[in-house]
Amino acid sequence: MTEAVIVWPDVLPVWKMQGYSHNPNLQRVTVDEKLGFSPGARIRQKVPVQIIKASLELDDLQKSLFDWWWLRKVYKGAVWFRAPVSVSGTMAVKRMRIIDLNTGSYTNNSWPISLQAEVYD
Amino acid sequence: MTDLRWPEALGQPKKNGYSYSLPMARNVSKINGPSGGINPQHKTIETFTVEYLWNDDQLTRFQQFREEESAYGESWFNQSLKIGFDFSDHQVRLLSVEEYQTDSVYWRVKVELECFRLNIIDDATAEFLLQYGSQETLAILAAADRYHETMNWLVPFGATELDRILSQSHEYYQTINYTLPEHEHWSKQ
Repeated sequence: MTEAVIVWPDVLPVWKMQGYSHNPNLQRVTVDEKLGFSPGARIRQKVPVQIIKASLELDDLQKSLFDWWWLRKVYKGAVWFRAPVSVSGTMAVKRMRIIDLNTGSYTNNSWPISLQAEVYD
Repeated sequence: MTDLRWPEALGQPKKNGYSYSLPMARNVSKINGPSGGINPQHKTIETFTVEYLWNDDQLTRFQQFREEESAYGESWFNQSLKIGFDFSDHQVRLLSVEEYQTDSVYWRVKVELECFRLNIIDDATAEFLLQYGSQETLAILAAADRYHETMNWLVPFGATELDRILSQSHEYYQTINYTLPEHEHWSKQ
């Protein structure tokens, strides 16, 4: 990877464990007719993209920074960036793109954010 | 630009139920590989969801503002809204108003506002936050306040003198706000 790649700011928290989900998103193509003992099966994607659903809780300053990062760095979610992701019980830095983002109501002096992202690597 | 402002009598939105959306790029998904994202529009519309608790007078004022001043939600107006840690002026328009609901003696009103441009922090502030994080930034701001207080009050006057000044100002505040109005009232009688 080049130096210019965008990274998840390390001053922002990582994902909350509660509600975190990871979908390997493997789409298999199988043949219906069983011509023999092993029907043909293959993965549809050339490069499978995993999908995670995660949530964050940001304080006021972190939310200001996240808004700036979202608009000025990842261009409203258009570009890929590198972020720590929990896959198979371990944290690893992977390429990621947020495909859905929702900001919840301001609660207990924090901003809840839920997101869905594609993870690739 | 508009000169119209949100009426001061209606106050700030409640903390609970306050949120705003961030613009989102359009996803171009592919079956056999990673997706891409494009931004086809230069300007996007963001929405604020805000909630108010008003008495009867304030509700009447809101109806007047909605119908006459903002022309049933047609006109844009300026309103100070919270973005992250900061309150700043945004040019917004009434997008929708939910039905008014009673809450004891008040009216609970939920309003959606549309906005063309979020006033986010500038690059220098963001770089500072990226370097120090939120907790350390708060500690730095508190230290700056203490430094300001020390340099402007403690050092020139000393602790004893400062105590005397503060007690004098407290007495002055008490006199102006509590004693004098009563005194005038007595003199009229």
